[in-house]
Amino acid sequence: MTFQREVAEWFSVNSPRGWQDEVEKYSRSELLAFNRRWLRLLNTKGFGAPHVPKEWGGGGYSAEEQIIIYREWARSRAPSLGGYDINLFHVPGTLLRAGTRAQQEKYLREAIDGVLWCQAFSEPDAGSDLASLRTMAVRDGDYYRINGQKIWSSHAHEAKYGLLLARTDPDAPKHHGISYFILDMSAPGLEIRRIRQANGQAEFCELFLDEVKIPVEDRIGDENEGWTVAQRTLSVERGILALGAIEHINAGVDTLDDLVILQSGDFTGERLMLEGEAVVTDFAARSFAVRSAALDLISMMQLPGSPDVLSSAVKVASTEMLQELTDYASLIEGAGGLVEPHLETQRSPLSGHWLIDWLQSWGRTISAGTNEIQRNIISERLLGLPREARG
Amino acid sequence: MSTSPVHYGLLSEQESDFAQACRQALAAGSDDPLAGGKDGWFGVGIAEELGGSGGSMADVAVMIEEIGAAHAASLAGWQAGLVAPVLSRGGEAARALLERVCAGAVCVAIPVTPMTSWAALDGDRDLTGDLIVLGSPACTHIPVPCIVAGIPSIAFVAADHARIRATPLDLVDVTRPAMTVSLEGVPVGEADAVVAHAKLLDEWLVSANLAAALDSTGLARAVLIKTVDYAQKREQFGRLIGSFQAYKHRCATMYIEHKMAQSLAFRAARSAGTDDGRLMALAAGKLTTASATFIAGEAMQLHGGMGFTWEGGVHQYLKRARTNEVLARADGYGRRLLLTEYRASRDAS
Repeated sequence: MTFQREVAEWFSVNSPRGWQDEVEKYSRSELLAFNRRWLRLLNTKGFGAPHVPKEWGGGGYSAEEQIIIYREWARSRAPSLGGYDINLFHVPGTLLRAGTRAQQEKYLREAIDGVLWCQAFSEPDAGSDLASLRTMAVRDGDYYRINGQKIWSSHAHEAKYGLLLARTDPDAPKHHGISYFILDMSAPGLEIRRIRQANGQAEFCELFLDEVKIPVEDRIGDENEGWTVAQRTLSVERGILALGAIEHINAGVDTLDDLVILQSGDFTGERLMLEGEAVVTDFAARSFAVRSAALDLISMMQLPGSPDVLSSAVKVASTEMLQELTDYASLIEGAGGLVEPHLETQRSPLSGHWLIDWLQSWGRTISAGTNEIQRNIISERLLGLPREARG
Repeated sequence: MSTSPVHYGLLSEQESDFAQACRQALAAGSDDPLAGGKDGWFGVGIAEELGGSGGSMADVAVMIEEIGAAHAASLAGWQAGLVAPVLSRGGEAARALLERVCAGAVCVAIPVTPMTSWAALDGDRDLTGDLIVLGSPACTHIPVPCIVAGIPSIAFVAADHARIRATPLDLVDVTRPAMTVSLEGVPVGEADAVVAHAKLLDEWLVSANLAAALDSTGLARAVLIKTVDYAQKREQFGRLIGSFQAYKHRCATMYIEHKMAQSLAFRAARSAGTDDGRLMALAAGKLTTASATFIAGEAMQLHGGMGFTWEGGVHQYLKRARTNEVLARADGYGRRLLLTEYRASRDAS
């Protein structure tokens, strides 16, 4: 049996039956339990974190195998893993490359097993200009004392740990005075407030840090090297993380096509297409192009010394395609789609509620470096156009 | 020649060398529709025992992309990407013609008029009809889509047949010569070769979509680089226009569109001959040709007044891009076939 067949069969056998309707009736805690059970089931095959070596609870699969896994996963319409991006991608990406053996031993297996992590990078005054962050970390013996404020930390109220960037040298140039920490979310002095989002859900949080103590052994990498560590470790995961999301978005084209077929009835034009058919065809072509570029990105990452010329383009293209797809689908879905489903949480990137997914799509065009910042990066670093004035 | 992020990043060393050879050869004679024929370009993707150079569609892709980037008149890309593969599936006469194509002794004109089953001529009678083709009087053959005894066929008729009139025609696309070809009762039996099978005309369209996509991604690459160069030379308000964010972001969007389209076109070439390859080729024929038109249009705007002049040259890219797009679209049949193939691939999985 080919690997593809094996993966497809596994998903068809193991995907929870009727989950789409079930999860919408769940309370938040039931949903978290459902997510955890699903992750653990996936982990029995190493599908939860296929890119992570087996010794840490991942699948140790090659890039080619990972691609097959994400494709079959999306095709099977099995649940995606809402809320686990940080512990499954960012945490191993960071700790495997920049963490100490002790940090790996302490945190990694747990993270892959579903202990939730969040990211504490952005601040109210440091969004796109992340390196201007002002949360301070002052060394005090075996600890750092952290004071400041963080924002846009998804799932922070449920997370056990956070990846934190804080300033350790206020006099150094802004990129050179930042250190990278593991934050215990139950530490005294840490207050968490939830922020309700445009789609009605509240997975975002704001963090207030008042004399929060972090032991020195929870610093990742050297002091003042945090920016470099974060840039280096996070970029590596971007391609494969994008690919998983892209496969789910691409499966959305199939779902849209189902809707178009349902609405077109018996009428199909011979030469000129119905609007919906034309739109589906264009989205299908676009989905192949975005997937192709994401695969190229992964291939190029495996070539030593190959510059990253694709990750910004893939980020923008995939998120804007998601926005356009959900925009169109929510329009043609008609009146039924206007009813507020009161979702406790969002199954990302496509929940089956087009209008909610469309609203949520701005979460992707804005987060992880807004698409405007990506366009700055492309025009300056790749095309060599003059840099923006910087304060 | 150095490459930039705008170039395709996954060429092998051998492919890069071939790309460079193509660039050099095209720089010398870019307005010759037969350029490359004597250097074996027409049969790049054909096995040596059939008279070709023994390369693959990946090599053909490199060549077509360079021809597009140079907005050259050479028909080599269409011979190698479209004519040769179709002839290689035919019988003895087709194989004999193929050998002459590979040797550069024959050059087949390329119809812009759709070659689909509903546009095909009645091959059970003498062939009568008009085609608009890319090509010059130097082209030796005209491929005529026809239905013979119910089977979709392509008759390769000698251009100097007594019952054919080929008249040079000005297209808006000034980068490639064109002709109107009128067939006035040509018996199918008098064609030099006839290739026939049930899916032939669809396959022609698939290959034409791939070739058009590769040509378009080449021209998109060139016109994007031209625009970025201009942005770094032209000053207004005391600064380079390329330092304005409104300008930079439009360039970035051109880049994003280009990289998606380029990836798809090259992937389609590399998977040519498989079911997935057909789907990718049709998708590239739709998306890559459209994105090149978008990119060339943006280039015209971003060159300001100079972009609008004949001398500035941006118009050549825009016209060629739109021509490729129309050719791949085939009056809507291209997109219809793409939808059919996409739905078939969904059902298969």
